[in-house]
Amino acid sequence: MNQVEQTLRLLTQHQVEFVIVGGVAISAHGSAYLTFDLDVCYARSRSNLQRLTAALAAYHPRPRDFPADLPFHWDERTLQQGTNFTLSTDLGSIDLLGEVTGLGDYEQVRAASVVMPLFGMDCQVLSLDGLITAKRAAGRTKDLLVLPELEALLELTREPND
Amino acid sequence: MNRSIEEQLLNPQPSTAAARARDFGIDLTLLIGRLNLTPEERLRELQRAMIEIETMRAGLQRQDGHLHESSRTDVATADSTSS
Repeated sequence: MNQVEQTLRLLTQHQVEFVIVGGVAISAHGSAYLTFDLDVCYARSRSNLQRLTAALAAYHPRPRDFPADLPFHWDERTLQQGTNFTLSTDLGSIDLLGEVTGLGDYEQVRAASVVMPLFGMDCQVLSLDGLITAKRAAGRTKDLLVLPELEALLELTREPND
Repeated sequence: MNRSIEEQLLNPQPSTAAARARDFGIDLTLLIGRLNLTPEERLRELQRAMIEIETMRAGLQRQDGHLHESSRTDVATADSTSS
């Protein structure tokens, strides 16, 4: 079961530096797009990796494409050895992205984000401009299919004097 | 939601992004409902949909498992009766 609210609460409580990107961000901006995972871009500083591993440790994170019989250790060292992780957890599927195509690392993604009040927390969410840049750069069919809707949302929600 | 946004979605002006989205096949009327919600309400709806679909998927997988199980039993029964 994907528990978006619980995951965001957990990350916030552990003071993880993250930006919501991908389908959940698209949905938060008003799209009717349906997704089944929560994608977040995270800061790769050592302290943030420690907070991130602590936040998710109790929820049995494991790469989704990993054979069931292979051992997997969820710790700071594992996160240091990779950049992007597609995980299944007890809270649902969570994709941790150290970088977002077309935008860059956490700092650049954060610079392209907006603050949204979600479930009593102020969450960083990738902006419509940022989502359009990332989807265009990713260039896969599934990314390109969502572009017309994102561009319409951007046009409609932009202030007249922007 | 700003009334003009609703109007733009229902009757997009030519050469606007909304018109291109409509021509691409996006159902703009769905956006009207979504834009009337707060971001948190949108995510609550998304979460509800995720859970409902995952529950349905799990049910179908269980059903599929039962079908495979019963077809294996049928084969086993057929094997034992044919010998």
